[in-house]
Amino acid sequence: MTPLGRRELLTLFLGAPLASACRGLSAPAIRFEGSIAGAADAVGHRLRAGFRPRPDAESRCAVAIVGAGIAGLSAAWRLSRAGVEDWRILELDSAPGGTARGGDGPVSPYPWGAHYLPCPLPHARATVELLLEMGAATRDPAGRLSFDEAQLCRAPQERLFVADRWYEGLYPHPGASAADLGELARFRAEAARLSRLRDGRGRRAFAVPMEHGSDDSDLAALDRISMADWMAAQGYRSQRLRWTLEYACRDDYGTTLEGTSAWAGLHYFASRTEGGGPDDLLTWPEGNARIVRHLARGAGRRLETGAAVLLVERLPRGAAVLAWRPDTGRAERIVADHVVLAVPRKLAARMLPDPRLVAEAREFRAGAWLVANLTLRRRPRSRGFPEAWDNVLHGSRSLGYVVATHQSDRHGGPPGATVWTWYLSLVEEDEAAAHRWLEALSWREAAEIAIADLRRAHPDIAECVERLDVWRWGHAMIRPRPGFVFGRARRQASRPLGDVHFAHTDLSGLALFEEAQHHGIRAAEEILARRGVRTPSLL
Amino acid sequence: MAALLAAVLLVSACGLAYELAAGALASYVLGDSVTQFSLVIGIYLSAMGLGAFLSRWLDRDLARRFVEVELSVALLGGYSVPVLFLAFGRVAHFRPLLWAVVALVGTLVGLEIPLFLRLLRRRLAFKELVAQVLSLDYLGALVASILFPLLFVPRLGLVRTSLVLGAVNALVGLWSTWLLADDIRRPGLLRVRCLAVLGLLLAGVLAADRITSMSEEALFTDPIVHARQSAYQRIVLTAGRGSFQLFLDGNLQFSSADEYRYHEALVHPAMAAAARRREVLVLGGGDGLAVRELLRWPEVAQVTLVDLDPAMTSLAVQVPLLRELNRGSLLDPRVKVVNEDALAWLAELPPGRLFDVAVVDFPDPNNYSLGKLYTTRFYRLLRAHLAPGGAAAVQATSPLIARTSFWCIAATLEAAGFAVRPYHAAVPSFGEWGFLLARLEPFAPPAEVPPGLRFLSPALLPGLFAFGPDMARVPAEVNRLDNQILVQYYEAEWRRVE
Repeated sequence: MTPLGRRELLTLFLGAPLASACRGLSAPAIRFEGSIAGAADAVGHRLRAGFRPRPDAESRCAVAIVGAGIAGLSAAWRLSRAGVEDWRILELDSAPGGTARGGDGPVSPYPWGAHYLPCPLPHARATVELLLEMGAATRDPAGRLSFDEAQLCRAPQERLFVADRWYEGLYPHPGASAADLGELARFRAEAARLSRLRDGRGRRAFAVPMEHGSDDSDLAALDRISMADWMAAQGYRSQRLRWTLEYACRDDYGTTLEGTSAWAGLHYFASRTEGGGPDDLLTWPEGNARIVRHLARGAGRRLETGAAVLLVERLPRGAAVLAWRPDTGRAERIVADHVVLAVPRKLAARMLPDPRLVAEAREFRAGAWLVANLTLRRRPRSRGFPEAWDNVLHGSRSLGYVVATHQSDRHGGPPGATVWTWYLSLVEEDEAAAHRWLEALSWREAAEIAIADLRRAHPDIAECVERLDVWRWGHAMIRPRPGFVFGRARRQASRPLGDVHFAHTDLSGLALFEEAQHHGIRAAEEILARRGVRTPSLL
Repeated sequence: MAALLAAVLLVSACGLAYELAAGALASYVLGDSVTQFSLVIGIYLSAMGLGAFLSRWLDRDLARRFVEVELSVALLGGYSVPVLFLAFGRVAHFRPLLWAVVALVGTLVGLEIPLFLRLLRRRLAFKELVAQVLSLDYLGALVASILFPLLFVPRLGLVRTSLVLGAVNALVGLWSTWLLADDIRRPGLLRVRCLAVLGLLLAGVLAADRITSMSEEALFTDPIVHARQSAYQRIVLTAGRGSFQLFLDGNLQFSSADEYRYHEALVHPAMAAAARRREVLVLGGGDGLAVRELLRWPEVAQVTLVDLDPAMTSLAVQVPLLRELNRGSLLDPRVKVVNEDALAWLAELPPGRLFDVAVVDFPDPNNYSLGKLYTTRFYRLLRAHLAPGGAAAVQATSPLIARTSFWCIAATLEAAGFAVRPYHAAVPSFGEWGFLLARLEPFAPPAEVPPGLRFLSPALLPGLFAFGPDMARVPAEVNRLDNQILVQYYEAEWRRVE
């Protein structure tokens, strides 16, 4: 991909209307500092290049877990709960968490990716157990769940910038016609109906984790068409509804309406609630890094960061992992009874080049994200509804920003200082091109894009920024393209290969905390069963 | 000729009126009217001198220049007051802006008479010219100084007055294109410009109410004696008619005329209801008035006051008016002042730190940052730090005007595990005001108050705990951090009366 100029960059990634609005204006004045980082790109390249050092040491353990994202950490958490403690986690990056990792600064901790968790329904046992353990939920003697008020997302939760001011909520109400509102009501009623729908076996039509939901053929049929096709077939014509649903797809899946399966698009609206009730969610200043910290604390020194797994070898019994530490240059061969590959599918297929994995991996396609954390010395000007937790710009290609201090009553820096986490999901069909674009992106270009986007709603944003840090996620979210979730590759991908087990949110086709956790726990329970440990399932 | 001289009268009347308007605005928002008027007059007159001096460099097309000067005066002078009003409280350095605007308008006005004299030079003998123009100039000043306080400000308000004066200048400019037609070649475009300026000013006149309501003028009926923008809020003290008032972000916090009713009612029932009164906590109440009431009780060993804004608590100590009213309560050795967010402070308080009495005196929940201080989360933390037998009093807005809001706060305290006794008191500046007395276990309302109070007496107490049908309990949801329903109730209920 040829390097793009700033104007083309703005046009390509912020949409033509914005870029033309910027014409005549100077480029945003970048008078602050910051950094740009990405998930261990240099090491990733060596992995792809087939680098195979000779091991300097060899060791043994019961379970070797590759990847300290939510799936890997959850596998370890599950093993410990069953009394199996002889495990190690090997993480390529300098910190655990994967796309749920967070950062810290003088004003507030902040997320680098995933930043909330919807309150689980009681059937999501593993998620409920984890939240009880974290003190985010409590269960009364009658078994009813309640969630800690201090960790539930505070009101106001969302606002939307339309034309020249902010409005409460995420639907673009201003100027909506009776027909628009009619379609909105019809869609909401349909989502509520689907959330109540049960199949012949009493399973929810849509559930989180998705394993708890139905796989009936009429639902599977929804996976074969796109969300755009489904809307057309249902007679939805409102541009406002279209924007709202497209935003949901971009936000949750990093896809367009055309690039999302209707099953996945509807899953977002119908899986969390019972009849369209309140959609409460838990969030923390550092986002889901709070959960990562909790899980990592339990792992202690068994969690090793900066350890690149280059190769996984199946043995007649167990498997061997070749781990290499770029900082020391030393390589270690770890022979384990079981290995959990808790990494994206493409990476798993590279570490263990089994023909089945390689074939399946071609079907797994993931989108890229650009995330910027803006440390603000004061709040910029803002018209209309006051700052919410999630702040979305109508008509922008970005996803808007979340406010790290929304949940906290105390923060560092001067009064009014905060950290905003700004997200851009690259919804382009050609993932490889988007990935290359992201890799070539400079810090200044990323900062200009973020500022140009936010400047629409906050004209003086550039003057308020103390620093701006950028993260590039090459593999941010698996894409539930039409046909993928109910496709053969996805459905078979969870099956172990000998003593190598798989865990990652990719395996669900939906990038969600609960899916990652589910696969981590499933892989751990497969291992527990093989080791003869009897324990009630958390699935 | 008479028409030209009439124009002189109008122009000079407007010129003086801008000066008066700027002086009035400055003393209004900044207080200390002697200083403000002196400075404004001084700057304005010297700037007029500068304008007169600069007029020597205007040589060609004098008539056209004169009309252009009129249009500039019309726009700048006309919009000077609205712009300054809007800027006040929004810009960091208001005074330099004020002085710059005054100097600019003065300079332009200073150009008017010299240009006029030169334009009329060919039509009148010099001694006639000077005599007539200058006498009308001074007469215009008299007209302005009489009409400004008697007619313009009372009838139109300061913002509209300034815009109307601008329109008069624009009309003089337009009129001059005919009066001086001989000296102006192709006046068409100039007339269009005059009409455009006139249109802009008339639009301003029509929007004057909105401009005014966006400025602070609408908020205060009395002159400001102290104004301060802290990191958290705008603190304004006004004084007039024998009392003074404190406003936070434009909302009245108390009037010295009747605050004793409010603070006696807030403090003493809780003190009387508590089993012990040694350790007292005040949340909010940075004006020190609740603490003044607390210190009437000899048993009080320590008062901890937690108020977010250091500007507010230092004002309570430094401004003589306030310090006299709170009797220096915040300087009392028994009082410890903490400037922190009350929710964060409570959440981080060591578990065993208990208070016998808590007085919760936050501003009304009119935004989300205040609404969080009325949630179950907040009251649960409060409950955890209340000693056995302790009592808490919560100011809870007006049960008459914001009835659902009041009962929402009661329901929220109950949901947090408190036994609640609601009561109310009449505070003329506020109207009928509501409070909630809360303890850890069910209790009877107190029957005693300390002697020497101006409002409360043992005989009055039972009546405060009785609610007539117009304030009786209504169903309300519980206010939680994740719904902040109270802010919505409050907005809806107060909007009806505002």
